[in-house]
Amino acid sequence: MTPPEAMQMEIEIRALDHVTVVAIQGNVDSLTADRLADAFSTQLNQDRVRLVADLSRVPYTSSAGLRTLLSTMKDARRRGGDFRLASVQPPVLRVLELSGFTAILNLFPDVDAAVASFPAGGA
Amino acid sequence: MDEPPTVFAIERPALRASLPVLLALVDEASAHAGLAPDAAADLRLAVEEVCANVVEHGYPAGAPGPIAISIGVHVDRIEIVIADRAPTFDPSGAPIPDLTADWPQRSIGGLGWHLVRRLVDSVSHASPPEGGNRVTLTRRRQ
Repeated sequence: MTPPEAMQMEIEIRALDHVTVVAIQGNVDSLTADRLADAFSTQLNQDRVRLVADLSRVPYTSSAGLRTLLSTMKDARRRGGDFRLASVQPPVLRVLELSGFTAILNLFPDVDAAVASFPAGGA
Repeated sequence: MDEPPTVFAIERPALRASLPVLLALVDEASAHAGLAPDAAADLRLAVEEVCANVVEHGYPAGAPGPIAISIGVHVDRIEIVIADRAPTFDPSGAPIPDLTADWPQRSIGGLGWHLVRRLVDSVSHASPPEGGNRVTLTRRRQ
């Protein structure tokens, strides 16, 4: 049986000066992807358009998760910001590669590097 | 000659809430087969994509029918049959995503089936006479 925690996902949002870091814990799949998309949308609607997703504690994503990543990235860029990924774990990286997402999303080894990649100032 | 496979089977309503128990059976079969963690993860993701498609698009909204999974662990391969009673949908007709398009043109359509085809060795679809769909995924054990 799948343990109950496998169905859950924790989202933690940390607003820095010019970047918002969204730390995710758990699987991003059909059960959880919509909630994650809502969390990103909420930030974008508050003009927090420079987003970093900390994926260090995400062991698994399905195409539902890819849909969320793609729509968030498009939305952020259209608003003049960007959506960047930090600490992508090997199983998730494999899915990003199989889907051709590594060519269009900006990936960084850790949160600090992703945050530093945004120039200071702005939202 | 092929020895009889060990079979794992389950049937549930085609609801999102059923996915964890369906996928847990895939994990159980992979463990029984002694699949490497990477291969087991591939198989789980492939089955999730097929099942999620049935859950999201297979049946009319509010009227979920059954989804059944049967996993045969053979000597040389794992064969997973995902069956539903939904209107016929042949995945070979799913759109093929352009994985080289720049970000504004990137579409999510067809990405699930693209992943399925990359994660297993073969995908086939049949429409049984009694209706519904039977999608068969096969992955070699070695």
